[in-house]
Amino acid sequence: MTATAINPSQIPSATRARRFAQAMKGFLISPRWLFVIIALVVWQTYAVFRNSRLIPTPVKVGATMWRILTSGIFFEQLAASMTRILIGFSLAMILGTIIGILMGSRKSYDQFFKAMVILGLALPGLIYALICVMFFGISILAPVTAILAGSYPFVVINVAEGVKSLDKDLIDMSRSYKIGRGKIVRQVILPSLLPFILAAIRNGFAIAWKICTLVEVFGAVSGVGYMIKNSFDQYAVYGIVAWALMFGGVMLLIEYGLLVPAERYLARWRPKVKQVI
Amino acid sequence: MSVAVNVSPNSTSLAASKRFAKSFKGIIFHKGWLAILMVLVIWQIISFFLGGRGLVPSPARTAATMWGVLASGEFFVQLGDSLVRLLIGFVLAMTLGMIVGVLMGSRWFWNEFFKDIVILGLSLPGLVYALLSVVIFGTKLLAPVMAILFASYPFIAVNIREGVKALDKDLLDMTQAYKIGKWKVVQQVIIPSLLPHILAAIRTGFTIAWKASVLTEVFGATSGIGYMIRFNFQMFAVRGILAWSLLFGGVMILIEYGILVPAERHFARWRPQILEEV
Repeated sequence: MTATAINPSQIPSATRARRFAQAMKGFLISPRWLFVIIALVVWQTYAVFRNSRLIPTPVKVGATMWRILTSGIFFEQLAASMTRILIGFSLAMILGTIIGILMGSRKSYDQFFKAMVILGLALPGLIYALICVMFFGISILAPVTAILAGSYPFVVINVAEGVKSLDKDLIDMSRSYKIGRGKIVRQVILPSLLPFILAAIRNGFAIAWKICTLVEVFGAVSGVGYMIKNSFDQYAVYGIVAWALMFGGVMLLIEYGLLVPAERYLARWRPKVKQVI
Repeated sequence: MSVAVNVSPNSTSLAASKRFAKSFKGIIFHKGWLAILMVLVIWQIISFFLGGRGLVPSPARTAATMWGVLASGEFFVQLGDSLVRLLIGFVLAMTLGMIVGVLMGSRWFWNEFFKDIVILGLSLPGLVYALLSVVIFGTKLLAPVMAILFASYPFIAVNIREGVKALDKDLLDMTQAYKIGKWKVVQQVIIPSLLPHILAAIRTGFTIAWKASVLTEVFGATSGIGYMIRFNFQMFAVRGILAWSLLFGGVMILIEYGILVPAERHFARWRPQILEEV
């Protein structure tokens, strides 16, 4: 940085690189690895000590994961599960957004739907999974309906919260200035609703993939849940752990790599929205 | 209540009963009943048109099954079995979650140390814990207890961590400066400000716990609500599944909204921000 004429594009990139290096350093030198090492060592010694078929060593689980990954079977089953999750969750988003907007904008709708939404939040996904498997068998309707029924209430509460927090004065003002409806929706309502919609996606999605796994356990011939069930039937603990960790890993990657940053980015103008973890 | 200057206990009890009557009226004439009625009517119509195969039982038949299960006392027997497992598992989860949460909230090192496993635990479905503990522990009591412990402690830890982080450091410093005994600080400063978070931890952890315990009973148990749901699933009896799960869900909602939420509101009443979130 000896040049007297400072290139404006150079400084930010340099500081960005430095910040990135610092973040990498913070990531690499962190007690988290201590936990990973301790956990693996304890697990390995316990498994060797017990010498039971039921308790696999981490090495065996790792080998299973590697085998599943390299043979391509993981991506095949992941694709089957993801298709179901995406179809079901899109429907849940549509239904949840509609009910959420109704509940957020009118008190009578709020009272009307409240009991149903609370019941929906409280009932375990297991019930939707079992009933849908009995109704629809192994057709795609089973996971789709179960995901729809299980995850729409989580979308509803977030969207309703967003609609309730809309700034009425701002909308009134834009009306009194005779700003077109489309422009109000685009420039006032959507920006302040977006963080809530993303929170709805994040919460609802977390429920959706869990219900999908459950449905696949009880009635499916493909998908990650089916593979977990397969391992369970063979008493293969290493298979259950390997599939669950990899599926959970992919879902964590989607959540913390995609949804959380998107939420943070869209909520950046609004310091109040709380970040939980 | 601004008119009464010296309120006699009599008049407050009168006001309380009036308030109770009003809230009771609010419950009876609530629009939520309309939604439930509509669902029942639609359900009845669907079951009427699809009836015959027994796959879609009418609400009346489901209610009859519920009544049968309740009146024979079978529900309470199975509920007792499930609740014993649930309570043992949940007490252990509370203990582990509190320890991890306090450590994470008070020291940066422990926060980094436990963060990954807690996030992983938050995101893995209860199904995984249920299946693993059934394979490893069979139908022993240990199976549901371990599944509940591992499924619900992360939710407790996260809430406790938030509570410890929200402790008022200035207040703690002040008590130190005034040389107030450690025990008194815990009793009068730390516990009151931690209580709402502990109750929130109980509430969220408990909902996860009972769901995990039902799942474990579905895969490996010879009694309990989950076992009855599984039994009905194998008999292809939709009305049995509905009856058992609605009854159990009802009991859990009653515990949550009848005991846990009011308790949380009561202990958070001096703290308006948290009160809004509850």
